[in-house]
Amino acid sequence: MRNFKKFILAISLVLIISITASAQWTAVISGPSLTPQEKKYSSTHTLTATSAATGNLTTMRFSSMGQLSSNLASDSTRVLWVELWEDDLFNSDDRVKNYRGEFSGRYFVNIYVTVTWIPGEIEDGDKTVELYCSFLLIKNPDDGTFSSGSFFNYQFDVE
Amino acid sequence: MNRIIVLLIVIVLLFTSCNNTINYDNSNSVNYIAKIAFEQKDDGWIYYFNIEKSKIDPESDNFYEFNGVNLKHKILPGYGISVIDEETSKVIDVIIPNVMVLVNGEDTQKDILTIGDYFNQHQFNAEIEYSDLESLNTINIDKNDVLELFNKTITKTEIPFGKYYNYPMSMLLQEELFVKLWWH
Repeated sequence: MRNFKKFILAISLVLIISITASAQWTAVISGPSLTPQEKKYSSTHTLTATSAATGNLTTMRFSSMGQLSSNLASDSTRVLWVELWEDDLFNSDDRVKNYRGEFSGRYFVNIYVTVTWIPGEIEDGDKTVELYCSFLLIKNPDDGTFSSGSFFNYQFDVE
Repeated sequence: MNRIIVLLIVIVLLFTSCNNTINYDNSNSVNYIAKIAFEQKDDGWIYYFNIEKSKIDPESDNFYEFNGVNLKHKILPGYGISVIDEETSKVIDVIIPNVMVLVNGEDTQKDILTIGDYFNQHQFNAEIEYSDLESLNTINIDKNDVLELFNKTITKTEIPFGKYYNYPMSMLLQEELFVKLWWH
């Protein structure tokens, strides 16, 4: 019976390792509905790079870009800040990259990669990264307490 | 006695559920008032001018926006949201948006942003003439379209926010005129 348990455990470990090793990007994740000026965090996703994971090759892919709900005021100076982080169990988390989305009215215009904080290896020689991000939509005084609705999707990606 | 109590609870529940209709009329909820005018152009394009005024601070600047949305084509070449490396200014990716809008067009984005800046700086609050747009420089957007739509908008009454008010494309969705165009 003990041997059988060990066998099941070994099979499970092999499966887990093979799943994480083959995954370089996550499934598409629906973006959160954001209340302006309230930071929201994603869940954490484990990905494995082909060699040591670097900040330069660790990114977020955005898709299905829609528009802000008309609950929120039109504002061409509004921005969406996105910070990509690596969860570190034993030390403080590593900030990897920042993004800034700009708007015209309620539509996205462009997304900028503003800074890559760690261009090289995120953790020395480590292929596996635990990624999460934060979102902050800047507030217009006429937004009140309304939320944006989900207006984009995203994925984490490591090469 | 127990039966009477149960009956009373059922009646109360039925009564409350009957009154639990969704109230879509949130016209007093949003914190701005808006005027908007549309113009149907070729190949599914709808140009619009949108003016929003704060209800919280009526003395603050109005927001002005000229833009266009295509209700015929879901995807058009040359329309996308660029992902740009700010350090190198290099475009590293282009994302296809859910809706084709002029502000995401490679030939029209600059014009749309320039027009927005111009009107937000000038804060016109009455009808204007072509000469008022003398210092507005556009390449692919005809200034006559902007002039005509602005004058149509500024003389309009504020739009009521209907049942679609909190949906994307809400203002267009409320226009019966465009129902047949919605990406059929």
